[in-house]
Amino acid sequence: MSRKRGLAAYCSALYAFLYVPLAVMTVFSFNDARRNVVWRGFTFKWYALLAKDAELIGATTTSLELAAAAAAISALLGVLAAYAMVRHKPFRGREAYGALLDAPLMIPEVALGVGLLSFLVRAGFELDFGALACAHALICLPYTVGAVRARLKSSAGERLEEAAMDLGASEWLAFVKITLPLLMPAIVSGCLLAFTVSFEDFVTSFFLAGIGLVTLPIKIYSMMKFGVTPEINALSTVLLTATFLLLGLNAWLAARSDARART
Amino acid sequence: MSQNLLELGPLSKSFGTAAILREVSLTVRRGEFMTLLGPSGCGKTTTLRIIAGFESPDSGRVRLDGVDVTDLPPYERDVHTVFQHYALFPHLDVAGNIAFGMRMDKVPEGEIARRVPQALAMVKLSGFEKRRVSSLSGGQMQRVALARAIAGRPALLLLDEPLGALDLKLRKEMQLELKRLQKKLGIAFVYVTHDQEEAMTMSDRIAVFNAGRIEQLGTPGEIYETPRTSFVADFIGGANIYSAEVLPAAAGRARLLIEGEHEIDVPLDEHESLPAPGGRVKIAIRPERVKVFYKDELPAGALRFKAVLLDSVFLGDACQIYLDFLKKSPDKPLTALAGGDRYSAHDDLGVPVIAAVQPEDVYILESDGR
Repeated sequence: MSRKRGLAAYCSALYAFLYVPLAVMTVFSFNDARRNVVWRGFTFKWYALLAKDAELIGATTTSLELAAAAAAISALLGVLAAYAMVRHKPFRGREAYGALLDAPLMIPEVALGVGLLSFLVRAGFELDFGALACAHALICLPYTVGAVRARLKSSAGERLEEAAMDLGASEWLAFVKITLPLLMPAIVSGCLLAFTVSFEDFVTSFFLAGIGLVTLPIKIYSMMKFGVTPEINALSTVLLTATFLLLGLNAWLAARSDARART
Repeated sequence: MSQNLLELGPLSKSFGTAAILREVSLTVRRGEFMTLLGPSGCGKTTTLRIIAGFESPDSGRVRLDGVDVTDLPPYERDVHTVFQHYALFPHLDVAGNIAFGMRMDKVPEGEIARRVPQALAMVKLSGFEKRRVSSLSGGQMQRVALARAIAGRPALLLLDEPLGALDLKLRKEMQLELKRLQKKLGIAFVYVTHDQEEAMTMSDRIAVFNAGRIEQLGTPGEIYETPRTSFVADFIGGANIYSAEVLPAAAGRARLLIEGEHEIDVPLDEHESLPAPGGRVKIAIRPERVKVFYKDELPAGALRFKAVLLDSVFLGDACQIYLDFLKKSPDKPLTALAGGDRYSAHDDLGVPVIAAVQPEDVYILESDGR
């Protein structure tokens, strides 16, 4: 067998391993049977059932709101942190500070969950939406910082800020009129990533969700206790589609801003 | 109204242990084209950034129009800069870039709408208002940067090697255009460059920088005709520089022994000074003032040196000739510059010739280690 074919076979196997389970899930979400094992015919009824499930819709709404809040908070903090690290005069411990910002990527989420839970309880915070949004913002921060930091480093932003100040803009105006618009693509991309990370987060939410606060992943987990139903398949398919759309949007925005920067 | 628009001095600035500026003092008159000329790292750009307000001096003051602005931020100084890499705002169109400074100064929009096309017309880019910055060529970007800087009508314009990124032909065009524009607007320019020809072409006065100091300040003619130090002589136009011993001479004259071999007697200019006999000085001779003769047919009054033709390099419009005229130090050939047709023949190499220099073309330099 030629080397080329060997490579093709390897790649097919790899992609099959990655995507066949998702394909099976998608296919069985249209299966007209209570059990997942046999194909009984095509139906949309699981999707119809989803649309009527008030609890599920409630959990989805909670998760969307949570993701939006977490993305917003982490974007705000991320821009400030990245700006301080790239544009500020070097200060003591800048490298360590930068590494600490990336740390939530590496810290086991279980440890983070336990730590946050004991801290919030000890400090007397309610385990409500606000607390969970802040916790999610913490997990999302590395993504927004990363995106904005890369953009700040690569652009000629410092020169442009100088030019703006030379033309009479104060530091604040130079930031708002010049730096922020130029950072926008990176902020949007960071927000999309943060949104996805928060939306699909299970572990931290599971530790911190107080009574009455049910996010979508938690809801799915509790439904799973009664076995994998076609309804869950349908729900997962919806999530999968939404995620791919978001990723596509992100890639399109990145390509567009690249093309703009080049021409 | 004082005649001086800008007064600097004496500015000192260090980064860490490296002294970038050592007591630089400078005044720029109203409407003057002042060039800061020097090699990279000589402190000219730092001086410009101090005037703009991006750096603050360790000591010394900056006075603009009689007002001390040393401690004011860049946006409170009536000074605009044309940056080397243009620094145009990529998310704004050409008109947005030009209007930016006026918007910051709260100029009424009606007035801005009138002044943007004016500024564009001045840099010959009429009709470019709606163009995206990224669609412009390097030369056009440079013009937009210039239009942006002059649109707000600052008292003083700073230019940091603005033509550095352009190709030679465009650079020559822009030099003349800049000079014309500067005269028309009557704005004082402080222009930083390392290109001596550019400085010669455009400037009213040139400040030659070396190692954080101003070595010489004067009109292009003065700098060229009477260089004070070997650095200035060599950096501007190039020069043959030799060491000479001072011999006793009549008043107003200098008798010198060049490199221990050739004795000359030349007139002493008013700015030139000599150490006592026995001391040493440096002298400079411009290559284009050295004439090469095959026979003894010298112009009257010229100094004459016996020499051997070492090499000649064809430069297109001229020819550079290397002459060996020092028996003891053959590593210091005399360079002469002649019309391209005359000495390009390589057959003549090794032939004995006569090098002639008019006495007033020998410059006596100040000692370097001040």
